[in-house]
Amino acid sequence: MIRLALWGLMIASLMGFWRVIIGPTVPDRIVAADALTIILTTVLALLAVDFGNGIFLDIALAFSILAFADVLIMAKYFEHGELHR
Amino acid sequence: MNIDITSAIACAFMVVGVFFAMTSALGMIRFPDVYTRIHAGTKALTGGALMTLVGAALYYPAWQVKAKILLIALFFLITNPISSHAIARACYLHGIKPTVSYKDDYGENLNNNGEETER
Amino acid sequence: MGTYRKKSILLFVVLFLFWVLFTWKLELPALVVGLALSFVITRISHLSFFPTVHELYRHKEPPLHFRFREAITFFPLYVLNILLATAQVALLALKPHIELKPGIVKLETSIRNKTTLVILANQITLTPGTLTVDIDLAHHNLFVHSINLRTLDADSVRKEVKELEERLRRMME
Repeated sequence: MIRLALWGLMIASLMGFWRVIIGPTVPDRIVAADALTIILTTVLALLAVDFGNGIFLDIALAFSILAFADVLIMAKYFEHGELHR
Repeated sequence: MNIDITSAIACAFMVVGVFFAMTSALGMIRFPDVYTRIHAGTKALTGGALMTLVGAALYYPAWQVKAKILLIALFFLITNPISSHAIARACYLHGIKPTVSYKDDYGENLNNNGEETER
Repeated sequence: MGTYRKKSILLFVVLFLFWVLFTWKLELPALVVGLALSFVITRISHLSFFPTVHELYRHKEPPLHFRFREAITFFPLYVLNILLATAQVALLALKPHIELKPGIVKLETSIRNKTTLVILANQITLTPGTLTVDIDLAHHNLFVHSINLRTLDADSVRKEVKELEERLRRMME
């Protein structure tokens, strides 16, 4: 059952990756990358359940925090053209 | 028997969540402009990831793992609107207008106040 | 000064709880290492809780009262709203012809507290059909992007947000 869910998430992440490639403007790509990080965190949590190994959850939490910071930094950089205002 | 029902509910949650994640990715491809794509990428994906994580938490027996998965879900619930708001605001202030716009109070407000509104 | 002291103690306790949750070793050496690390991180980062230039000219905000009885009905409705929004976007994405009429609506709120305003903005983002674009903290205005203004015109957006606002105010203020 979890394998089926992982296949579904793989298809979803491929579609998101397609938006990253063809996105006409920069924010399109940022939105799609944000969505990809959420899908990848879910995949990591499902892998932890599948393998019965809790270490994936620590990785998932650290990854989601880093991805959140990344998206904020990218948005701020895109808004002002510089990081320090 | 009890375990069986719980895992069945968990599987149902996971299937519905993965379905929502797939439709949100599909919406991100099909929607016409950036703002509507943010709608797809925030709301549907938050709901989908939340349901999948709740399903995974129900599926796994250990108490500590459940707590960690629910912590990730709570983190999504808090941070996802913030990141979408940051992207939308950056996008508007950079000058990308909505392609099919019916009403635009924000642009009027920015024009009226000029520099003042831009903190 | 007192609130900053309280905030750093809160930060310390939260960091230590996270350490216990992640290592899950209830032995003395691990706990001592966790205490030391939380103390160091609190000492380094407690400066970020001092007021910055942005907050200096902000006026005094009213105090918050968290009511537990309202919160019991608040959070299930929040989750229900998220599920409704998810289902709506999913249906919209699966339609053969997508006809959208998006637009940005300006809303005036009567909430004066910054924390409550941020919670309201987050909740608006997660309700069906709406997305917060910007918050004007000086005039307490919200700018809300709506995905389909044909069925959900500006007045109904305002009415919906008014409802959420009332509920949030009953809980928090």
